[in-house]
Amino acid sequence: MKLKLSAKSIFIILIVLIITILTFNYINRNSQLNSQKIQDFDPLKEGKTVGVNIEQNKPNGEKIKIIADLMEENKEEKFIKLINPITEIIKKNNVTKITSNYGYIINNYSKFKLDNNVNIYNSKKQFALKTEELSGMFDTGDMYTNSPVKIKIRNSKIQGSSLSLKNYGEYVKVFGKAKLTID
Amino acid sequence: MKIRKNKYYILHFLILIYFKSAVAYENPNQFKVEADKSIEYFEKQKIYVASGNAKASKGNFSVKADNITAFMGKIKNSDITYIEATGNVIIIDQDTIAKSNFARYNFKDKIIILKGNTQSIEAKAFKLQSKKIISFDDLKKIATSEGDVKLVLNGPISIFSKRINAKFDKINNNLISASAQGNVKIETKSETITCNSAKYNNETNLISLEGNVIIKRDKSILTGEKGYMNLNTRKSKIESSKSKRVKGVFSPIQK
Repeated sequence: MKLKLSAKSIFIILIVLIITILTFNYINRNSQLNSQKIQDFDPLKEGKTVGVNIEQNKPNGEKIKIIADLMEENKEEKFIKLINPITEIIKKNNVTKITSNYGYIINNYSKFKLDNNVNIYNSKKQFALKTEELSGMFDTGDMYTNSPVKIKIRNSKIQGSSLSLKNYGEYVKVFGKAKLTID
Repeated sequence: MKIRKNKYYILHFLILIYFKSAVAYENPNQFKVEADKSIEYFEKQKIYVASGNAKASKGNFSVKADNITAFMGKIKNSDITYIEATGNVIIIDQDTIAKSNFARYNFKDKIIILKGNTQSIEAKAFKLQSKKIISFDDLKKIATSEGDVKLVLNGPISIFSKRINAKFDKINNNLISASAQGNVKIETKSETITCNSAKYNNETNLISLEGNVIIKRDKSILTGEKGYMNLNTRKSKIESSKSKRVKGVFSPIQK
C-alpha cells in the first residue's frame, strides 16, 4: 500500500503540529504559574492580603502606587511579598510603571526585588525595559540585574547580559557583549 | 515520487520564509553598535558610550575603536549627529581606510576629524599621514592635514610638508590635486626636491614648485625660485626669479 500525501495535507499536518506544540507549551506554563500561585496563596494565613492597593505620598512630591493580587507582610523582618505587582512611580506627571510576576519589598521597605517577567515602562521618556529579575531602591530609583536585559529608549534598542540603572533610567549601563541599534 | 516532489516544495517554502524573515527588517540607515565590555546611556546629554572593542556601522560606513560615543540630537526620535571614537580607531568608508587614536565623524556635514600622534587616510591611489590632525570633508572630498604631513602617491612619490591640502574624486576617491605648504620635500626614485610650497595636479601629472627650489639628482644639484616636475616623463624644469639666477652643479658619474 503506497502512502500518498499531497502538499496541502502535509501543510495542514505541519500547521496542526505547530499549533498543538504552542498550545501545549502555553497550558503547561500557565499551569506551572497557577500551581505556584495556589501554593503561595493562603488568605487565611495571618499577614496575607488579597487585592492590594497601596499609595504612598513622599515629601518630595513623589507618589508610589502599588497594585497586586496578593500581599504577604512579615512585620518582624519588615518585608512584603507581592504576587503580580504593578508599581507606578509618579514624579511630576512622569509615570514609571513596573510590573512583574513576583515582587519583594525589603530592607525596611526601602528596597525592592522583582522576579519573573519584569517590565518597566515610561511613556514620557519612551523607555521600556524587559528582564527576568531586578533589584533596586525606591529613594534613588537605582536598579540592577545580573540577568539578560532588553531596553528600548526612543528610537534605540539596547541588549546585554546585565544592567545597572540610575534614577529610573537617567543613566543606563548594560554590561557584557552589548548591542545597540538606532533606527 | 509525488511525495518527494512535495517535500522539495515544502523545503523551498520554508527556506523562503526563513530568508524573508531574516532580511525583512534590515534597515540600511540603522546605526548598529556592538561592544565587548558595556554600553552606557546618559539621558540628559543624550549620548551612548560603547566600551571595549567597540564596532559601529551605518550603511557602507564602519568604525572600530576601543570606545565609541554616539551623540544624539536633542529632538524626539532624532538621529545621531556625530560620533567620537578613541583608541586604535579604524574607519572604513567604501575603499577608504582612516586610522587614528581619536576620530570624530559628523553624520550631517560628513566631516571626519582625526587627531593624535599619528593618523592616516589610505585609498588605492594615495596615503595621507600626519602627526597632528587630518580633517576630511566627505561631501566636498577635501582633506586638510597638519603636522609633519606625508602624502604617498603611486610612483612611488612621497611629499613631506608642514601642511597638505588634498582634493579627491567624488566617485572613487582618487586624488585630483594636492597643495603642500612649508618645508616641502618631494622624494621620487631618482630625485629629491625641496622647496617652500608645491602643487600636484593629477590631470597633468605635474608638480609645480615654488620658493627656494632645490632639485637633487644623483650628484647634480639645480637651484632656483620656481620649478616643475613632470611625473610622466620624469623631467624637471627650473626657473629663476628677477633677483636670483638659476644655479646648477653637475657632477659626472664615474664609470
